[in-house]
Amino acid sequence: MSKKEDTQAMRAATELDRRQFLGTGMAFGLGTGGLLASLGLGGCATRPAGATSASTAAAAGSPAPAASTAPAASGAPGAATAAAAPPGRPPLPPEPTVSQPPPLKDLKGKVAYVSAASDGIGLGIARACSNAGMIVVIGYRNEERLKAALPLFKPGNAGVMPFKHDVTDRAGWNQLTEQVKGKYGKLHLVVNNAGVKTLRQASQARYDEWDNAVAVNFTAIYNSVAACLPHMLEHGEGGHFVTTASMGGLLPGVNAGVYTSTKIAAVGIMEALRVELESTNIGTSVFCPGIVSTDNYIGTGEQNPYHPQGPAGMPPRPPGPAPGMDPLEAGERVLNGVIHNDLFILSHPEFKAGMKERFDAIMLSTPAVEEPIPEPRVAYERVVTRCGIYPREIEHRKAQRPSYVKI
Amino acid sequence: MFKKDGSQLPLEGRPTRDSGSCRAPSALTSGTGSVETLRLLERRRFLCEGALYGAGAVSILAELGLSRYAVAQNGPPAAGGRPGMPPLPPEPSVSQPAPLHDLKGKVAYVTASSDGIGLGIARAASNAGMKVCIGYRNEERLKAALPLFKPDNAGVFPIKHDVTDRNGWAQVLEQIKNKYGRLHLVVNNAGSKLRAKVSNAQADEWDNAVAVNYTATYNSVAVCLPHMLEHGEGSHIVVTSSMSGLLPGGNLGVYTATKIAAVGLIEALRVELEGTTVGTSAFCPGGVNTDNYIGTGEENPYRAGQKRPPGAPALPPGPPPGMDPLEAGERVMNGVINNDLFIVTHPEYMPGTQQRFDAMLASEPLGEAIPETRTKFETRVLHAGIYTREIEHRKKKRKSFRSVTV
Repeated sequence: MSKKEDTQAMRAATELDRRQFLGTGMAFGLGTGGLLASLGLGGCATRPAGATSASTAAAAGSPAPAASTAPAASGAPGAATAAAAPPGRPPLPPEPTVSQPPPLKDLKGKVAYVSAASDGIGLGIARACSNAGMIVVIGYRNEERLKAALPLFKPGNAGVMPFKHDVTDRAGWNQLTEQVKGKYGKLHLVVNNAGVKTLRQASQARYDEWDNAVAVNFTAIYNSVAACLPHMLEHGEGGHFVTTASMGGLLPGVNAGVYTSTKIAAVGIMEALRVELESTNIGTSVFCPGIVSTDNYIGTGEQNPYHPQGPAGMPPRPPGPAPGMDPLEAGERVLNGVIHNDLFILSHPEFKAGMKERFDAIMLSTPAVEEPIPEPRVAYERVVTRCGIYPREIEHRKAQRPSYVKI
Repeated sequence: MFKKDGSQLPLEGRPTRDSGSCRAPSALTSGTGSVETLRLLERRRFLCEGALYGAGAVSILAELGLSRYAVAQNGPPAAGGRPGMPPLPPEPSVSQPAPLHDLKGKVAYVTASSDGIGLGIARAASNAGMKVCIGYRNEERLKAALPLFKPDNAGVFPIKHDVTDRNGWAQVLEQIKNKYGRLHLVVNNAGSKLRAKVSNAQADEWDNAVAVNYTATYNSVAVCLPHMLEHGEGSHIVVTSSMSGLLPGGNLGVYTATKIAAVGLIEALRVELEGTTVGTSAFCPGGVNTDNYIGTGEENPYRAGQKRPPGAPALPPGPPPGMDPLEAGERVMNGVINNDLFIVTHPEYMPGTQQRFDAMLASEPLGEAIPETRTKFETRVLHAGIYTREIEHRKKKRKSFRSVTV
C-alpha cells in the first residue's frame, strides 16, 4: 500500500474521531447527528437523538436522501430531513421521542419476586423492596440461609413469602407465577438476581461449569420472561424486569471468562428486551454493580461447588469493615432504577474510565472511511444502523435527579 | 451535586481521605448540574491532546481522585496488588502480537462455510494459501460451494458437523489432525438466524440460538485450544458475530442477545489468552449479500414454510445492496493477520453504537464520593488492559482492508 493511501486513511479516521467529540453540543446524543453527517449519512440522522420534532412524522416521509462521502453532505445534523424506509419496505412506524415512562413508579403494595434472595445482593434487593412497602417473594435454595435471612425483614413491613426455586427449572417458573397469583393476585416486579459466581476462565471451564453458568446467568432471564411476562401484560398494572448482572457485564476486567461473558450476555438480553417491550407497560433494567459486601465478595461465605476452597482468585477479606457497598444500599439503588425505569443501573462510578476504554477500543475498530459507503447498502440498513432506545436513554439521563435516594 | 441522601454536596467540606472517602473531583462539585458536569468531563477527555484514548483513562481516573490506580494500570509493572493479595503481575505494554500473521500453508476450519459469510471466509482463507476445512450440514449447498474454490488453491476438506455437538468437535479435530497434522485457525461462523423476540420465543428456539450462536464458540475452544497450545505455532479463534452484537438495532432479541454474548466471549478469551500463542477476534459485519440477507434462501426449521425470515425487507431492485461475502472474508483474514480484537466492516453503524456506549456511560452515578477502601479492593477489575492495548494497536497506520489473495 502506498504512503499516500496510508495518510488518507489515517486522516479520515482522525477526522471521524474529532467530529464525533468536538463541540459541546455534540456530546452524547447530539454528537451522532454530526458524526452521521461527517460520514455523509446526514439523512439517517433524522429520527434523532431524542431531541426534537421530526422523529414521528418524518419517519414515514420522502425517499431516502442520497448518501455520499462528501463531508457533512446531506442535511444538518439531527435536523428534520426525512428518514425513509429502505426500498421495498413499508414506512417506518413513528418512533417515541422520550424514553419509556416508568411502568412501576409506585412500589407500595406491589408484588416482587427476587430470585436467590436468601443472601447477598438478592437479600439486599428483597429487603429494600420490603422496606418500600412491596410484598416480596424470596427465591431461595438453601434452607439454612433462608432461616438466617428472614429475621432481617422488619415485622411491620409488607408480606414476605419464601419460594424454593432453581431458576434453571422452567416448570418451577410456571409454578412460581401460579403460586404468586394464587396468594397475592398479581406479580409486578421480577428481579433475576440468581447468578453463578464461578470465577473460571472460559478457556479452561468444564462443560458442566459452562452450561451451568449459561443456564443461570443468561437463560434464566429468558425463562423468567417466558413464564411471567404474559401474566404481567395481562393484569395491565405495569411491571418490571430487572437482572443483576455485574460491572463484569460492561467491563470484563476480571480474568474469569465464564463469569464475564455470561454477564455481558445478561446485559445484552435486557437491552434486547427494552427494544421489544418499550411500547408496553413493562419496564426493563440491568443492574451492574461493582463490589458489594456479600459473602461471595468478602470471602466468608458460600462454598462454590466447583471450588470447595472458595472462589479462585478472590483475596482474603481485608481487615476492618467490609470494603464493598452495603447490600441493602445496592438494593435501594436497584429500586431507584426501577421507579425511574433506568435501562442501566450503575452504582460504582470508579469503573467509568475502564468502561470508556472498552468502548473506545470498539469504536476505533471502525474502518477508516477510505472509500464511499455504498448508498444502497446504507438505505437498506437504515432500520438497524441505530437503535432508538439509546438516544432516548441519554435524554432520560440528562434529567436532573439525585443518582440515589433512600426508599 | 447530590449526596447519597439526595441533598446537595457543598462546594467546600467535601469528603476527605480521612473520612475513608476519596476526594470528590472538583469538576463534579463546581458544575451547575449533572448534564453540565457530564459534558465537561466528556469535553475534557477529548479536547486535551494527550488525553485521547488510552491516556484519557488516566486523566479520568485522576479527575475521580484515583490517579494512583491509573499509574498501576497503565504504567509498566504495577506497584502492588490489593491488600492481602500478592503484587499484580506486570502488564504487557503492547497488544498481543498477531500469532497468525502468515497464513500460507496453515490450516483453517470454518464452520457453516458451505454458503453465506462462511463461504466467503473459507474462500478468502483458501485464496490466501491456507488449507481449508469446510464445516457443512447440507450436502446440496456444499456441492454448489465447492466449484467456487479455485482448483489451484490449497486443499479443501469438507467435514459434516453440527457445532452444538461436542463429540462432533472432537471428531472434527481428529480428522483435521489426521489429514493436515495441525489446526491453526478456527472460525466459529455457524449462526442461528432466527428472527424471534426474546419475549415470545419458544423454549427450543431460545435454547438452539444460545447453543449455536454462543456456546458453540465455547465448545470450539474447549476442544481445539489444547491442541493449538500444544503444537505451539501461532493460532487464532474467530467468531462471526454481527453488528447486532455491538448494537441491537433490529427488534430480534434472540439474535441480538446471543450475538452480544458471542462478542463478550471473545473479549473474555482475549483477556485469558493474551499471554499465549492464540489470537482472538470478533467479526461484526453489517449487511453482507448472503441468502439470508437478501432473502432468497434457506428455510428456517423453526418457522416452517417461510422461505424468507419474517421482517426481512424485500429485495431492492438492482444489484444486491450488501457487502460481497468474499470481501467480508478477506476483511476477516485482515483481522486475523493483525490480531484485531474487533473486526468491524460497516462504518455506518458506528454512530448508533456510540449512542449505546454513551447511554451506558451516562448511567454512572455522578458526584458521589467513592470509598477508598472499595477502590483498593477493586484495583484488579477497574480496568481491562486489553482495551488500552487495543486502542494503541488501532492507532497504528495501516489500511483497514487489503486483499490477502496470494
